[in-house]
Amino acid sequence: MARDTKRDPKKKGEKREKRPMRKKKCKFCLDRVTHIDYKDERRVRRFMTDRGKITPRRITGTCAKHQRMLAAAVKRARLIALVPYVREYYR
Amino acid sequence: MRSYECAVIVHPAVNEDGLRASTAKYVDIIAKGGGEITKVETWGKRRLSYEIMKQPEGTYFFYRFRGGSALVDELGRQMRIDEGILRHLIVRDELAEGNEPALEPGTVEATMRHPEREVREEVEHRGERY
Ligand SMILES: [Zn+2]
Repeated sequence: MARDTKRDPKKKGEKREKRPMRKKKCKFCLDRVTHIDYKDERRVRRFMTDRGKITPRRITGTCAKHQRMLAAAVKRARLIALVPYVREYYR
Repeated sequence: MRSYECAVIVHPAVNEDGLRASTAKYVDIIAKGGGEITKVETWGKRRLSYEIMKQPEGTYFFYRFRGGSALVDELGRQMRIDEGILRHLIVRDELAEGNEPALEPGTVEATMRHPEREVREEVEHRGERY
């Protein structure tokens, strides 16, 4: 709420236009994934930001079960340096 | 007996003979610890996502085996004190069926898992969104 007014202070009284949001589907559920391999660097990376963070569920639409599997895979992949812990922006 | 996978990053300065010796050493440790090796694979030398002990790259090996927890402890201990190893990770092999044929320790050699994979810069991932 507070965020809305901050973003657009002029339209305070107006009703904010609702953006039709398509319901996101869990990528892993669509593929019927039962196991996420930490060695599958490409797949793991797809769910990480360019800073090396795990992309939140609310962005990717991943279900809770698969997000847990994904998080575990990312952490393993980081340990053996397949993906970074952090990546600072290049200056 | 459970199935495990052990990932190892060997120091980039270790040459081919050294790599063979390293593989032989750990195959031996697994066999002596009552384990059964089902596969040893390598990715060859690869760029690391971050430097480990000042090294920008390393040679990846993967040991798949069955064994008990004492063996896992011993393997981890040996790898930790091995100066030729930058990093190791032993995890349960959840995909193993448990009936993969065991290899004869003396004959085990690391096979290339991804022949197309060499030291190469991964295309930078730019925060794709779904
Ligand atoms: Zn899912």
